[in-house]
Amino acid sequence: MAGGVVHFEIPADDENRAREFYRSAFGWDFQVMPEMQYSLAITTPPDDQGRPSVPGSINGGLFKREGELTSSVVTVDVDDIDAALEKITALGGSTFRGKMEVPGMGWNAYFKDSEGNIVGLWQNAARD
Amino acid sequence: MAGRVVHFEIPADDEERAREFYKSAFGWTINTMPDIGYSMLMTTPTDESGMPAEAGSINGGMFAREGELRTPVITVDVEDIDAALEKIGSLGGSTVQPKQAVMDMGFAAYFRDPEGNILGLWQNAAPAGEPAGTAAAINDIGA
Repeated sequence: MAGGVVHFEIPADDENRAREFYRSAFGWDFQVMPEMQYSLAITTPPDDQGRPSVPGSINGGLFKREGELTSSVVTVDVDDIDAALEKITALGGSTFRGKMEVPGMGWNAYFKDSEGNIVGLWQNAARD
Repeated sequence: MAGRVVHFEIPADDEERAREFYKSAFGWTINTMPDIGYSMLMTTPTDESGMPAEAGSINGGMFAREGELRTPVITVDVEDIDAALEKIGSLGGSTVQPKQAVMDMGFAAYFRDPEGNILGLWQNAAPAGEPAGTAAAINDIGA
């Protein structure tokens, strides 16, 4: 849903240690994608399309901490990342990392908001 | 809902500026609660109980950046915050801010994971399966 917070990301210096922590503390499941240095973090049961099946909770990801992406990220769904980044810039934010394809799933990007927080954008490959 | 990510928080140096930014950028509805220095960020429509009406998105909050809470926060729902903090401590994490009541809605706390990230914990005031009290409480603050 455009404008909704649909995903989160948590950085880790030691991804194995972090996965073990979140599995043990909260019962999260992880799908490791080693080629992307990324793990999907499943906190709530997904439906057959991989989206949360129960209202009120979301899934996310765990990534290797590097560069300026050093703190947790919340990700906002948009219809058009390029248009969203243009609007964000006009509103006093900036593009932190431009649109990149996540093969078969969609596109993501990162921006800085008016407060300097780094926030994610997500655009689905196919809209409902 | 135990263990699920149910809420997020964004810190702001200038809350009015940040509210304007998110309203304009994404159409969020923002309900300010000046008494507790907090704004509810509604990114997705809610049902009569104040919970998101559709699966797939969550709502969150905004606060003035201060102390250790300087970056966006991911919040995990738990049944018992005290027990969760104890377990987190035994797993290599630590307590940043212990359990605090949030009006009559529930309880919040913050912890540091083994990677140094600060995350939130949330415990609903009403027991699972008895949403009536929670619904009234959440509606009270217009969430």
